[in-house]
Amino acid sequence: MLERRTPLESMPEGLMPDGLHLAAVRDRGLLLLQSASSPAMQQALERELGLPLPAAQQVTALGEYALLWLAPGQWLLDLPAKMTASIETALGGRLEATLAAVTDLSDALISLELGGALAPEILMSGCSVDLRPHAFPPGCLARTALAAVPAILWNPGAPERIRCLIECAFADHMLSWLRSATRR
Amino acid sequence: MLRIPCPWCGPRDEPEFRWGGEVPVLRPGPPEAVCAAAWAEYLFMRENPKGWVRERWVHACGCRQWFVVIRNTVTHEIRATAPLGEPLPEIGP
Ligand SMILES: [Zn+2]
Repeated sequence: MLERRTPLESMPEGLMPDGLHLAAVRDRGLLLLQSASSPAMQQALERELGLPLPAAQQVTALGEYALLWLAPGQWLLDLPAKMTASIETALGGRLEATLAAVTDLSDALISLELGGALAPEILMSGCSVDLRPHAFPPGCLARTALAAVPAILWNPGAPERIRCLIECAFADHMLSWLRSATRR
Repeated sequence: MLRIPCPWCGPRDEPEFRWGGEVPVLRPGPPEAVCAAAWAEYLFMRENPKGWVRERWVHACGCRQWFVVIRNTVTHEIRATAPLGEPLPEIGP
């Protein structure tokens, strides 16, 4: 059996300067939800998890679950890693009769959490979205290009925190970009 | 740089998007009945106007959706954007 590892395993914690915290978000699973019918997906999620669908560029959260808007008919469910397989099966079952797909993306994306007063400014040096607290309050989400690679940025609700999801293959690029952006 | 208003994500910088060419460009058919000149017309010939043009863009680094933009090729002003299949204002003078 292969051991589960992420490219962020070797990342030293707390390496960043004052005003910026950077941490890998661990033990989370990610399910991509796609549906030709939003009401069908809405019903499946409400019955299974009690989670309402978020509006465009928004996130809905309940307990350990967060549901991220990705595009029309597409959402990403951020959930505890140990729940991923059972929720994937359960949602798949509820959506069986509809044109929908539930796909496990846990190993395709990595999740970073940036915190501290400097976090918005540093991220904004690499993308064209206003991430300052008044413009990017809790529950806000943006899919954008960060440091020239596709990224999903969202505000999980904790003060001064921004989560960043990127493709696994860009992990080293993102860490080295963050280091140099922090030095500037 | 253009600031393009994605119908779903709002205004973003141009590098997040890819250009998809003028619309409408209709594929002729059926293939066995189309002469070389008509294929060449379909593949290569565009209006390329000086002024207002209707074109397709995709928000490649964002929501990855295609949409239609009315843009002025001289001033780069963008008058309207809309999801594919939804009505847009007519191109004016
Ligand atoms: Zn978009």
